[in-house]
Parts: sequence; structure tokens; C-alpha cells
Amino acid sequence: MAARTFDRETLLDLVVNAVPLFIMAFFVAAFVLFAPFGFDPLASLLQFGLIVAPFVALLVLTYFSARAITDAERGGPVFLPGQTTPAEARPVEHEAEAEEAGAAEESEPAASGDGDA
Amino acid sequence: MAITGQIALTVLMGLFLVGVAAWLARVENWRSYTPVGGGTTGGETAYGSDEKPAGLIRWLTTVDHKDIGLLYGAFGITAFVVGGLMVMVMRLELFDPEMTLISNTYYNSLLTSHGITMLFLFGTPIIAAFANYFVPLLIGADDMAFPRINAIAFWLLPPGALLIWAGFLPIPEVIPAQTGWTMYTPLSAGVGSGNQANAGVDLMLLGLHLTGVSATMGAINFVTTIFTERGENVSWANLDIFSWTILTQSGLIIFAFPLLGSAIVMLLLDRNFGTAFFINGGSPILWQHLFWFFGHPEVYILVLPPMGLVSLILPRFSGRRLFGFKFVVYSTLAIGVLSFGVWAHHMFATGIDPRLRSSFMAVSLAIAIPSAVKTFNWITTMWNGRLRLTTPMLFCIGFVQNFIIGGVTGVFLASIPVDLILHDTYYVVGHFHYIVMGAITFAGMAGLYYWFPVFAGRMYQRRLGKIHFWLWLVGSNVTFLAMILLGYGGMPRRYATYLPQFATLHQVASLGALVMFVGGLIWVYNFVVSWLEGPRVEDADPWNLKDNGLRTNEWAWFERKRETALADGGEVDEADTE
Amino acid sequence: MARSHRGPRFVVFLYAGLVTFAGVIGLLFSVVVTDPQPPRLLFLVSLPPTAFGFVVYGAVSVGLVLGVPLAGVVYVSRHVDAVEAPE
Repeated sequence: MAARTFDRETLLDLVVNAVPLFIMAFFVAAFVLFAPFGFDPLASLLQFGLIVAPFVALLVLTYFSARAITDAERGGPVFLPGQTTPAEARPVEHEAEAEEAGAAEESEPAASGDGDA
Repeated sequence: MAITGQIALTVLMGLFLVGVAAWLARVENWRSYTPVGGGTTGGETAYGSDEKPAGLIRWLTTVDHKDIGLLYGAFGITAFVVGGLMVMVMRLELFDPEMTLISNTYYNSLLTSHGITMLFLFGTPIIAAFANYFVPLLIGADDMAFPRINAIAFWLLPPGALLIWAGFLPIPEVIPAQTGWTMYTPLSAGVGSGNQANAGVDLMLLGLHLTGVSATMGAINFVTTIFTERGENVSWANLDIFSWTILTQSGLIIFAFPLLGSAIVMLLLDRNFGTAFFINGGSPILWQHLFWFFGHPEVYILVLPPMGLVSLILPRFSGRRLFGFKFVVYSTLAIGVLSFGVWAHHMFATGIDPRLRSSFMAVSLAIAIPSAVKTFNWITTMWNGRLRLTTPMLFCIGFVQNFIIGGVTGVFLASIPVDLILHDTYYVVGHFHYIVMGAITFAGMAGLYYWFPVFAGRMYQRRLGKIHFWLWLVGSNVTFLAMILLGYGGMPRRYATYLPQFATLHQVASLGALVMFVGGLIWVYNFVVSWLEGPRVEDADPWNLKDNGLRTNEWAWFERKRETALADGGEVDEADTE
Repeated sequence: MARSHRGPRFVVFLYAGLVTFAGVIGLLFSVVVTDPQPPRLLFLVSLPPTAFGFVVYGAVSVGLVLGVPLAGVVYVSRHVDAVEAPE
């Protein structure tokens, strides 16, 4: 499902949040397997809750923010961040072929919606 | 002797506040500028300067986000000077273990007030200053979503500050709080044989509450503004990094500050109405949980926008785009979420259940990753760039350097066994000063220097800016390195005196503080003189950002403002329209 | 306007500064702490609890902790971050 929702580029960007997710999952697994301080209904519930809650929250927020950014990229012109209104600003190609973003400035004619036209 | 010192300091503080009032009364002389709306949508370009009243009334009644930003800035800088003077007195007292410049209780008062002033009256407001001024410009909004709430949020701060500092003012029977900025119960609940049942503590708590209300109102305003007031082309994909960090920070404020407010109310009830939340059979540890559930996000409330400033400014002087922009965005959001899951790492030494302790350690290690990722991106940006070492860039690099040191020393504290040894020593003090002074304040300075031409229409003296930077870089590292070493040696926090074997390192720390003090004097002098008499900015792009195609929206606004001002028939000048 | 500086040289300078800083902390640590335990570099190599041992311990540990990401920076700059720095 994720593969259809996000392209490869976005998934690559999301790796940055996969790392802390992985660390938290690792500790959950470690605490399940080794349980260095034994098991107690209340304390253990809290113990896992304290890791699982941020895990889930981070997952949800990452998903929705990635959706918002991806939809925005598909639905409108993409500028360099924070550079929409200067007279010389031009939309850049989609990130996938952003390599020539610098060159695009000369080669590409001004698209519509040029801020303060 | 001690009493005389206290009286002298109180008088000094009073004189200083009178000076501030006098200065505020003179602001009618400030040159007023054309209040062009930040909007990009043609239509009303300038609505005439005569709509704003002149003089002091303008500043008391303004709802213009830029004016409010300046007010926040002036307030934050004033608080920074007050907090800085407080710590200079403390460092003088610590120059020698036998020193009796001030009494031990007065030292405790300064210690408490220094922390609260710097975090709540300087840190949060100075960030709000940048955010108020620039977020609407960066996202192409006409103003904040709720301009009047914006004004109210600011005007809650001065009374809050007066309440927090009330104990230092010459009010009979009221003494300053001596609880430390964390206000741990039972001391802060006023029980026992101490003097903390005094009304000064209640006033401070109420003042803190006001600043919390102010921050929450501001945060709601920023979230609404960034969600609903973005300009035509400013989609989520085009949002700049500073606005992203302000959005995340505002989210944190909305969840964290009301909790602080509630905890403060509970504490006030305990102190004055005999309830039993934290004392009288309640749990003193409950306060620590509530406080740190606010307090740890507060750390990120203070550090995320400075990270945004560095992410914005550092690439402009590296001559290239920020590497991995979206990495920085997602890691900002990750920090925002995870910051609520680490609070008890401040409480490893409280005898908390080891299972819970290990969970907090796990999340604390996880939250180090997004910060490390950002550092990685800044370094990569510099690696492939050509660096122009202007003053704002120097402060950004200083931020990165101090942030690495503060971060590495902090990761050790996240480990339970290390923390148990170093808990409540100067190591912790050194670590967090590397972050709050070495990193956060450095980034704030980067912002102040970077946008000084926008605020003042004039340029600061570059040489003095660089001297300021180097004095601060050397001073902060000398002071905070000495603190780290003091911690290794076992010197406990918060004491007004110490054993003779710590004398040398304390003197080194005081010397470093003095170096920073000189740097601070140069900074204030530079800003005041340059604001009044600096050379006028001749070009709407003083940093030559156009050369590399890196000019952001606020500079485009600055250019339009200058052009409109000329069209208004202001000074005759070469309008350098491209 | 300030002269421009090449990024790599500057970053390496910053790295060297931070490693030196760690070494200095190690040196001063051996002065401040009386009778320290011998440090174990990377939890493996036991070093003598002398000034020399702590300098090596501090500098090598931080050198690695920052050096590995720096190697990552170099790799990423060459292979992923293909945008040319403007002259």
C-alpha cells in the first residue's frame, strides 16, 4: 500500500524517521526477549506503553506529513522552499529530476502564478 | 556586607528597570517606516503610514506582526541583559570560595531567576520575535491569523516578567524565589523551616503562568497562520524550514505549556489552600513528573526554531541549497513527537522502577538520531559549498560546533549508569549550557545579524560583529568546558560556595564568563550605534543571495517595501530594481 | 563581502578542532579526577589511567564517533549530493 501512496523518492526521505522507529522496536524486542527486571503487570504495561505510544504517534505523524507534502508536490508548482515570491524564482522540476535545478533557472520559461507578477 | 550588597544590587536592578521605562518613553523618536503588508497578492500594496499613530501610542496599540515582532525582540533582549547581569554577579561570587559579595540565599535567588529569565523571558520571546516578524513574510500572509490575540500574547509578557522579578523589587516582606528553575517540591511548596513560604514565590509562579498563557496564545496563532494564511504558491511542499520548525514548536507549546499551567495552579493550591497534591501526604515526585512532562518538550521548544534558523541561514552563505531538506523536515517532526516520551530521563536518580527507566532510556537514545541527522545535513551542506564567513554564518558554525559538543555530552547522560554518577553535578550544567547558550543563543544571534538590515534598514559594523562572535565562542567554551570538568571532579550544582580543590576551575569558568560579558557589551554597543547611525542599506539584497538563486521570500518583501517607500516620495535614491 | 572558503577544508578543520577538544578534555580529566579507573577504548583496549591514556581515549573515541559520520558526509557528497557548488 505504501508503495502506491509514496514514490521511491519519498520513501527514501522517510528513512530518516525509520531509524528512530527501528531503535524503539529494537528495545521493545530486547525487553520482551530478555526482560532484565522481570515481569510485573502494571510496570511492564507502562514499560511497553512508554515506547509503543511514541512509536505509534511518530508513525502516524510521519505518514500524514508525507501525504501532505506529496499531495502538494503533485497538485501544484514546486519551488525551492521559502522561495516562491522573489521575481527571479522559478518552479523546479519534481525532485526526481531535480539534478538540474540550478540549470532550470535559465532554460525553463516562467510558469504561471509567479508570485508578485 | 552581604546586606549592603543586596541593597546595592536591588537598587541597580531598579535603576535598570527605570532606564528601560525611560527608553521606552523615548521610542516616539524611532523612525517609522511604511507599513507595507506582507501580502503578495497585488491589490492593496501600501495603506499609508498615517494609519498608524505616531510615537509611543503606536507601539502600545499595534497589531502589525512586524511591530509585535520588534516588541518581542526588545523584550527578549532586555530579559537577556537582565539574566546575563544576574549570572555575572553569580560568577563573581564563585570566583573565590570565601567570597561574600552576596549572601548564600541571594545567590539562590539569582540562580533561580537566571534560569527562569533566560528560558521563559528571553528564549521563548526571542524566538517569537523572529517568528512574528518573518513567518508571515516567508509564507506570504498579510499578517498573523489573529492580530489582536498576537498583541495580547505579547502584552502578557511584561506583567509576567514583573511578577517573576517581584522579589528583587523593593517591596516590603517579599523576597525572591530560591527554588531553582525546576521548582521542585517540597521546597517550592513552602514547607519546612526554610523561607520559601514567602509571597515572592507565589508571585513568581503567577508570573510564570502568565508567560505560559502568552506562549500558548502565540502558538495557536502560529499554527492557524501557517495552516490557513499561506500565500498562493506556498504549499506544504514549498514551505520554508523556519516555518516548519515554528509549526512543530507551536504544536509542542500547545501540548506542553497548559500542563505547566495546571501544575503551577496545583502548586499554588498546595501552598495557599492546603490541598495535598505534592505535600500533606501527596507525592513530591508527582511534581517532577508533571514538570518534566512540560520541561523536556520545553527544551525542544527552545531548540527547534534555532535549528530552523541555522537550516535557513547556513545554506545561504554556503552558496547552495540545504542538503536533504526533507530529512530536516521529517526529523523536526520526529523530534516533536518523541520529545514527549523522554521526560523521566531527568529523574533517573529518583528511585523510579527500573523497567520504566529503561524505556525512557530507549526513547532518549532514539531522539538523538533526528538531531544527529540534522547535524549531518548541515555539515554536508558546508562540505559541497563555498563558505562566506559573515557574522551570521560564523554564528551558525558556532551553533553547529557547540551543538555537537552539547549533544555528545548529552548522549552520555541518556545512559542510566553514567547519569547516576554525574547527576546533579556541574557536568549537567556544562552540558545544557552548551545547548542553551552555545547553540540556541548563537543561532538567535545569527538571526539578529542576518536580518539586521531588515529591522533597521542599516548595516551593523562587521568587524565588531566578528569580535563579538570570537569572544563568545572562546568564552562559552572556556566556561562550559570548565563546568564539565568540575562535574567530573564531583562538584555539585547550585551551591554558592565550594571546596578549595575546585577553586581553579571555578576561576577559569568566571574568566570565560567575563570574556562573554565583554562580547555582550560589544554586541549591545554595535546594535545600538548601528541602529541609530549605521550606513543605510543600499541594496535590497545585502547578502547577495540572488547570485546563487537563494533569495527567500522575506528579502523579496524587503525589496518591494523599499520600492514602495521610494514611490511614496521618501528619500530620492537610486532604486536598484534589477 | 567576505572571501569564500572551500567547504571540505573548513569542515575538516572543524573536525580536527573537535577531536583536539576531546583530547584536551581527556588530558584535563586526568588532572581533575583523583585516582581514576583505567579507561577501556571501545570497551576493548585497556589504556593506562594516565594523562596519555585519557588523551588517547578521548581523542580516538570522539574521532570515531564524529569520523564515521564525516566519512558518510564525504560519501554522500560524492555520490548522492550531485549539485555542483557554484564558483
